[in-house]
Parts: sequence; structure tokens; C-alpha cells
Amino acid sequence: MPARVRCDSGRPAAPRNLVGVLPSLLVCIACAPSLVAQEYHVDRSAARRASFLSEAPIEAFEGVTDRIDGYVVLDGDGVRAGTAFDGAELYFEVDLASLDTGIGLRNRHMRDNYLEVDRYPWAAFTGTVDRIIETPEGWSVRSPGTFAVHGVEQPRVLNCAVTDEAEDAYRVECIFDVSLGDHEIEIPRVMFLKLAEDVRVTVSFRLRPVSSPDNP
Amino acid sequence: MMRIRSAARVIAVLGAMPASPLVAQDAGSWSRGEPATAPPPVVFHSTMAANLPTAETLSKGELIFEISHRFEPAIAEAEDALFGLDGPVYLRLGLGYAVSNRTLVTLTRSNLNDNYDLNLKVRVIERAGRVPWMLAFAGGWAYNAERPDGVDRATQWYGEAILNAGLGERLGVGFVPWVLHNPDLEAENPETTAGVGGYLQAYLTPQVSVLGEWNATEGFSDFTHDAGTLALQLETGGHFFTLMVTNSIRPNPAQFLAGADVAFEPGEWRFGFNVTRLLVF
Repeated sequence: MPARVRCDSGRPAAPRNLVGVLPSLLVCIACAPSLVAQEYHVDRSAARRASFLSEAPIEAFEGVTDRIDGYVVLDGDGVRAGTAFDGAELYFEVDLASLDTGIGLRNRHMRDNYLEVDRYPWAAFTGTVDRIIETPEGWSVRSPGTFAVHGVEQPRVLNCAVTDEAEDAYRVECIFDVSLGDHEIEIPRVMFLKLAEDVRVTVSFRLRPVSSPDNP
Repeated sequence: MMRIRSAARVIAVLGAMPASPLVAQDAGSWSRGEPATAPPPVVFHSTMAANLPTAETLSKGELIFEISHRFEPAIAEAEDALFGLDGPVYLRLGLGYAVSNRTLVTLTRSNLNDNYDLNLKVRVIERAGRVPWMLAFAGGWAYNAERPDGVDRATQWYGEAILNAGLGERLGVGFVPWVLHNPDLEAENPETTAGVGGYLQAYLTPQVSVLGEWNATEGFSDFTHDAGTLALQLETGGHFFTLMVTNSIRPNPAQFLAGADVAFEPGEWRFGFNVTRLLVF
């Protein structure tokens, strides 16, 4: 991930030799986007929801949690059709041990047998933004990146719906399918009828600019 | 100068790559606001071993239905009783309800003396860590609707302390000291006795485990032997199937705790099973 470095001065030091040049380059490259970037955080005081839906032949169930957190960094003033994408980032993570499927025993099976949350407590997406399209409801944002769960990363492109919500805040909703096998989550043969190989993941959260007093 | 350009290109490319989401992320001012939820400790998967209870309970509002069989003829009676499966059989039916995440109320009926048993189990403490452990207390009151001729005492009661501990990721051990009132309905006077049970369960896979159980009793007129059980437990989503060989064919707690009438020897082993199903409405 590109580390975001705070710069007190945008004036680069005059390079005298190679040893001096490399740190200066690094600092300036890292600082350049942050001079104009706007950072948004998931608003933990607003409604948050992450869920997965499994529809197996004899059983369908949903696992739900409100423990989702993350941030978005965009250039310019926010989500607009003309927003620049360079340096844009999207990151969110879900606390897997908090997923509730409605049945305690099934929760334990999910935690211990499939997700192994003691070793891999988070599912996370890290991406960039490469397209913003205006829609009647707001914007459609495309974010290519990497989704990781169960310790296995897979490239994935998310298409998220973004709408205005309150002043300076956005509601983000992303829906995508995850194949458990892609993340080396094995389903015992005896469970194939009860747990689907492909689950639909939905995340929904509100973003607030970091300058907001409600989301320091 | 060429080397400077190359270095800058490498740095720029590395900087533009999305980072691994397996690593905790940090934006300029973002940091994880809430730590990962600590999963509750787990020692045993089921609410019962073979005959003795574990400290495990259900989630609030869940129901558990149980049907158990203990075949009276010994497995050694291969030709005469089809390894004991011809029966007769002692049957136990039960329904439990989780009043809270820690409290389980169960009503069971055994066709041995038409024994109705109302049981309350409360898990009072659990701790995670290298050796996860939990402690529960259970108590029950039993009514024997069908009694031998001349027997007036119809009720029994018992109390159990249930201490469970995990040994590594695949092994669980449990101790169940207990007290039982009126273990022998036909005794001249009602007695109160105490004993201790224990079990060891090894989880071979998340679905398959083997367990051994032993219940040490004081011994009474017809129940002079400790009860031993070897079992295989299969776990699917919502079901536990426990297949066992045992020298005890007395299904309900107040009956089982009193002891067995034959020794735990291969020639006396009986076949039995428990099937439990989790129900959510």
C-alpha cells in the first residue's frame, strides 16, 4: 500500500548525490497525492452492515455483522463524475468472528471449521478506483483490487453504488460473489447440501470526511 | 542519472500497488477502531458426552430434540439377538430449550420406569486461552410414573458440577462430580449418594470424534458397577450422532448416575446411540 506521509513542506531538498536523491524522491512521491486527497472513514456511528448469503440445496441462511470498518481516499472534493482517480484507495474490513447466522452451533462451525477466525480474524478488500459513473440514484464506482479471507487473497473488481447521505456523507453499498474454494475454505462432503460453494457478500456503510466532527 | 530514473520508477510502481489486505491497513488518519471480536471458548461441541452432560449450552431461543436408545441384550449375543439389536430397548426422548445463552432447560422421558426428568443446566463461567475451560452446574428432578410393586417413592433428584477443559485444539476433558438422592427406588430407605464421572473426547476432524466416559459410583443393591462407555460422535450441521458401546442401559440422569448392573467387560457391552437435532423456529 502506498504509505501516506504527512509533509510539512512541499519544497524538495536539493539532491547532491544518489544517497540524498532516493529519500527525497520517496518523500515527494508519497506526499504529492496527499496534498489534494480527501480522506473518508467509515462512520461507525451510522448503520453498518456486512453479510453473506449462502443458498445451498436444502438450506439457505445469512450471516450478518455490523463490524465493518475502513476508509476511502479520493482526489478532489469527493465523488463526482470528474473526480480524478490517481491515488484513490478503497479499503474495508469485516470482523469475521462477529458474524451471526442466527444459530449458535452454525456460528461456531463458521468460525472454527470454515473461516478459522482464530488465525484469520478479518476479511478485507483493498482496491483503487478506476471509474465513477453518474446514475439516477448517485454514482456507480468501480474498484479493482484484492479481496482476502481465510488468509488467501484473490483479485476482484467491485462495483459499488454510492449515494448522498446527509451532509458531506455518502452511503456505499457493494455486492459481490465469493467462491469459498478460491479462498481454500473447504466444505466437508456431508455439508455440501447445507453450505453453498458460492456466497453473495453485501457490505453497506456510510462514509464521512475525516474533518467531520462526528468522525474524528 | 539512469540509475536515479530507474529507482524512481520502481518506487512509483511499488507505491501505486494496492497493499495486501492481509496486513492491517493504515490511511493517513485511519486506524482500526475496534479490535477483532474474541470468539467464545469452545471445549466440547455437543451439550452432552455419551451420558454425562458437558458445560456447553445453546444460544438463546434454540431447541434441541433428542432420541436415544440403549439395547438390553449384549452385543455378544450375536446369533440370538442380532448383536443386541433385536432388543428390547430402553428409549429416551428429550426436548431442551435455551432460556438464555447460558441456561438450558430439558425435559426427558425414559421408558425405564416411565422416568420423567426435568433438568436445568447453567454455564456460569468460561475462559479462553491456551487451556480453555468452562464450568457449569446442573440439577434435575425425576418422577418415576411406573414403579415396581410395593414401591412408593417416585421421585429422585440430583446435582452436578461440570468442569470442562480443552487440551490443545483436538482434545477435551470433563469432570462431573455429582450427588443423587434416592438412587435405588426399591431400597428400604431413600439414600443420598455421591460420585464422580469423567470423559475424554478427541476430535479427529471437525465432524468426527471419539470419546471415552466413566462414571464411578458407590454401588447399590442392583447397580454395583461403574458405568463405562466408548463412543464415536459424528457432527453435521445441527445433528450429533453418538454411537456407543456401554455397560449401562439406564438412559435418564437419575438412572444412569446410580450405576450399572453389569461390569464394563467386552462380553457385557451393549450397543446404544444418541441422536440430537438442533431446532430453530
